[in-house]
Amino acid sequence: MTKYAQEYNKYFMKEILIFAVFFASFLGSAQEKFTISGTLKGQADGETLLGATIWFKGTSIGTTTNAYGFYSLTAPKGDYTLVISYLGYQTIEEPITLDKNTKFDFELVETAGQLDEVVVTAEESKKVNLRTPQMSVAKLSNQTIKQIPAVLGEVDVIKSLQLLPGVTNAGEGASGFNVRGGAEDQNLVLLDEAIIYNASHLFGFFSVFNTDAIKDIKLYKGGIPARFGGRASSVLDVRQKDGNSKNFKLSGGIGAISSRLAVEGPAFKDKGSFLFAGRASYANIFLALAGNENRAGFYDLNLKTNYELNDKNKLFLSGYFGNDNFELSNFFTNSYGNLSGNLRWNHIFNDRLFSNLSIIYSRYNYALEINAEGIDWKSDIDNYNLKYDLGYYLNDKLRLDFGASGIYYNFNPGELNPLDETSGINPLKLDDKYAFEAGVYTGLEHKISDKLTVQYGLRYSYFNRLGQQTLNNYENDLPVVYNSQLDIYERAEPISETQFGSGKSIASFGNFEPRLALSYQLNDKSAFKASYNRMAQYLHLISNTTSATPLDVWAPSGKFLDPQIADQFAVGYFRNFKDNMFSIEAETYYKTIDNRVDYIDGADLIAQNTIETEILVGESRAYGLELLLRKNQGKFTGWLAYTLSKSEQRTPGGTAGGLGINNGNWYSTPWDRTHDISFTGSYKLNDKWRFSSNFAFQTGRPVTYPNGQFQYNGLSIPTYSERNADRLPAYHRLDVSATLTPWKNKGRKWQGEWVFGIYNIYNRRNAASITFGQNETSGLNEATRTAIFGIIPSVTYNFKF
Amino acid sequence: MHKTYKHNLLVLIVLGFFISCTDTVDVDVTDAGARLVIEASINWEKGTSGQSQTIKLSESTAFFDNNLDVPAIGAVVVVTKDDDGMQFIFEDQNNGNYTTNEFLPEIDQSYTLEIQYNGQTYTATETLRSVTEINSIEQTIEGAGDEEEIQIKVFFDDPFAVENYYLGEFNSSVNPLLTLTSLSDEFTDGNENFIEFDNEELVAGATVGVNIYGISEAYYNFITILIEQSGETDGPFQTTPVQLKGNCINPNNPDEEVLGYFRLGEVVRTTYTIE
Repeated sequence: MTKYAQEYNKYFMKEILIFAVFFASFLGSAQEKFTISGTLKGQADGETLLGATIWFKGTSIGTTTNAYGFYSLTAPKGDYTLVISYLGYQTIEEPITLDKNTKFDFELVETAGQLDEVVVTAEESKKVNLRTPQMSVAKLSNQTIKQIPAVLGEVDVIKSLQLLPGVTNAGEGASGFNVRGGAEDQNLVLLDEAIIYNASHLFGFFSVFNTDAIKDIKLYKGGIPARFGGRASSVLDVRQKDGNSKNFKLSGGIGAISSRLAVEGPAFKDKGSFLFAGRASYANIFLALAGNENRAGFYDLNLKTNYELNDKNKLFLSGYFGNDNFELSNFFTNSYGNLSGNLRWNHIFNDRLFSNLSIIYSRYNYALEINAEGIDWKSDIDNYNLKYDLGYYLNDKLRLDFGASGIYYNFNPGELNPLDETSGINPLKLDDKYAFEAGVYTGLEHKISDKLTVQYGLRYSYFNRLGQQTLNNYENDLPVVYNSQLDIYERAEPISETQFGSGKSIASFGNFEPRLALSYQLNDKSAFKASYNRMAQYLHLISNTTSATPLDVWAPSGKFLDPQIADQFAVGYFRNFKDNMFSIEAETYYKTIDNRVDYIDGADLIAQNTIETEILVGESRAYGLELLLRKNQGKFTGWLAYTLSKSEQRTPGGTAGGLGINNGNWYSTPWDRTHDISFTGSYKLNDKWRFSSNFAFQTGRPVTYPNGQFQYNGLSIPTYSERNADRLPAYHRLDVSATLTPWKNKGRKWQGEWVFGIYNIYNRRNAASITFGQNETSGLNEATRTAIFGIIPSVTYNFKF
Repeated sequence: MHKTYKHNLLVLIVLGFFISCTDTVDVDVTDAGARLVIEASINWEKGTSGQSQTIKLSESTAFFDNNLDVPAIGAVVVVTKDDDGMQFIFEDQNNGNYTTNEFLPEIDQSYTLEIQYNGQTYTATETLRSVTEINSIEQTIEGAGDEEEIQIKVFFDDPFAVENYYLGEFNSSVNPLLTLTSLSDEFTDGNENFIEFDNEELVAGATVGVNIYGISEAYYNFITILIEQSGETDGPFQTTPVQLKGNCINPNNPDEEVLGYFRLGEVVRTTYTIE
């Protein structure tokens, strides 16, 4: 045989061997196997527990509960001790005899108020967690969030996530958050599976999540499982509580800026429960009293109810409604809000196959009134979503996920109307846009050996931009052209129009999105993990920061805009110390994103019917190192996070000609932060007092500074060169808070606590922006720094009844 | 679209109950060196001959330089009317100003500017745009309480089915700095348009010099960015500054950054006294 043939054979033999091993493990051994399955709930309130660990003591057979508290374990016939553990609850050990398929539901008892005790966590629980290939995920239980110092008395989901490595924001006053150098529109924010477009209130200061109504939060920064798709950088999966199914409970809080109230209890004759939670800010009252003409306020409402038809079928109905309103004293008014409603049906086919069908409607609306221009502009996005997700627990080594989803979009980019009689505006209706996005996926989690677990996943996504719409045609298909004489990019004049009828396809895209993750256990204390994912994103958020007013335009891919495609590689090392008292996580990632748009100089997005004439297409890339050291147990708990990273983009002229933005060179994205250090700690002094503090430090964000000035028309005009080449001064602040739980609480039905906090205790004037202009009196140039949040003390009273 | 040079306006963006502030800080910035500034604005006041015109040439300085006046002297400045080749020579006044008394303005005509300075040549071409008469000026009070201010709206007719762009220039007796505002008829075509001006310092008796210029679309894009970038737009809604690109280039060195603009337009002027 030739050398080549020998090599080929060797390779081929290896292939067959691998396939045989796979096949054998697929079939399982000859021994008879049985399955136990069921649902885990909390004993006090009946809430299902997500991500609880359940395993057979002394074996490597274990799993975690899914988003609905369901688990399924298959093992050879025999006697076992079943162990169930979950943070904040007492561990259960239960001897069972596995000789037939059995249904076992469990209720776990909380260990609330005993966090100072050393909680003994069985060895295998840690092993199970180290073994899952899932990496790059931050999981925050409600208990963890409640311990972080509140900002203005509100414990906030997004503020807590920003204290973890890899998560930052584009400055105080910028809504949204950025994950691993990704843009704000690249986060898939889900509230009970419904898509939320803007997860911030008050321009990023608060999130739309009322922690009274939230049960579990997971942020996937990388290694995103195949069941998620549609956004390039992350998935924020937020699950609402179901509602206390045992007793009626009232809880809430009264704070300086906002207050909240939640009511929950059993319903449908103990076959279900409900939860209503609301939150509103009353800053407007203080503003009015202070004689200030500005208005800033928000409110939200979370509703949920569920009904258990029988032990195989459960129905859930959830809703969310929230709104923000911001008025700058008669100059402009901006309001936006999210609305979502969904109906879900959990169906358990048998002890190994779980399914969930969701029917979801969500709506995001956005309105802007500009007095100086006499403009009244309203826009919105409607989504109709149907998804079906199944989980098949094949055996102790294989777990299969598969499903499909379809979303129908109706974008209404806006209606422009005259604000009042003096306005010269002609009413204008921008074209509605329609699209359909679908995805099918399958994912397999495979325990290849005791040390190695791999997750293979493949998602296929499809996007079809539909009529009815009339689109412009441009010469050479170029909506933006380069004017070489003036060295600027200009809007091209349309040469003709094409009409697309209702439902006709304007452009369609299909993408395979492979997902791969593996976990290799080095020993029982540490693991090495690696992942790769490809994500396709069909919607783009075009945020015009060349405008002095806040502006968000969601544009679907289509004739002139291709979908964003992200590829991310990540590797990580995880280790527990001292019986899981400490843990350290180190991850490094590299991400590239194609088809990232940026707007041309002088772009105008207000009421723009042809977005394609304002943008150029480019790419972005981000890479970094994340370190997280946590102390999980004891009187003092907390973590220290450090991220070293770079996030940049490049927008060449491409087919339009010319060099592009910033002469086609790479420039920092507005959210690039070289160093990001966060520390959060919580110390429980005794049953009465708990203290916590946060410290955050970030490199200042990129900005463009002037490099000279010239006199023109009686004014001093700054000149600028490279985009985002300079930086604002570093951002840092320290927050502290103290929680007082009065003695009177013991044994009493009404539980209250006082939270005293100070945000930014040393009153650092962190620059939200630095602007340059002429001093009105002297006419000389000066730099003006705007700092938004100085020292802010707060007092909140939280109660539970 | 109506873009306004809002001076301190967005300082107010910050939510009143937070302890927020703006203050002047020291910042280090780079210096890109001196570049030629061409302020070639040919303004034909309606009702006059338009023969007397001035072009200003100067040099740019470092951003925090307190000496703002660096005239460019010794240049040769010529404007040619493109249809018949008539040339207008602008005489060097040795202070950065170059003047002529023989200019012949004509609406919708194209003109070319050529400058020789420091051994380099600079050229630009533009068309002279018209403007309509001012119909009326209306004075109102905007805002309420602490933030009340007097505002004036200057009304004029916009020709229908023609793309028109306007520049409003306001010189009030209460503020040494000019205010510039640009306007496009994109949403208001054929209607009576207005450009507004307000300033918190305006009081009864103050005078406001009002000039409305007709401008081209290219100049409208240029001046709109200039206005947004030279104002103090504080607050969370930041503009991303971009390099201003004028229409004057050095044909032998196209990469050279030439500041300013060559524009031509009709202008209507009036003065209004605040009541």
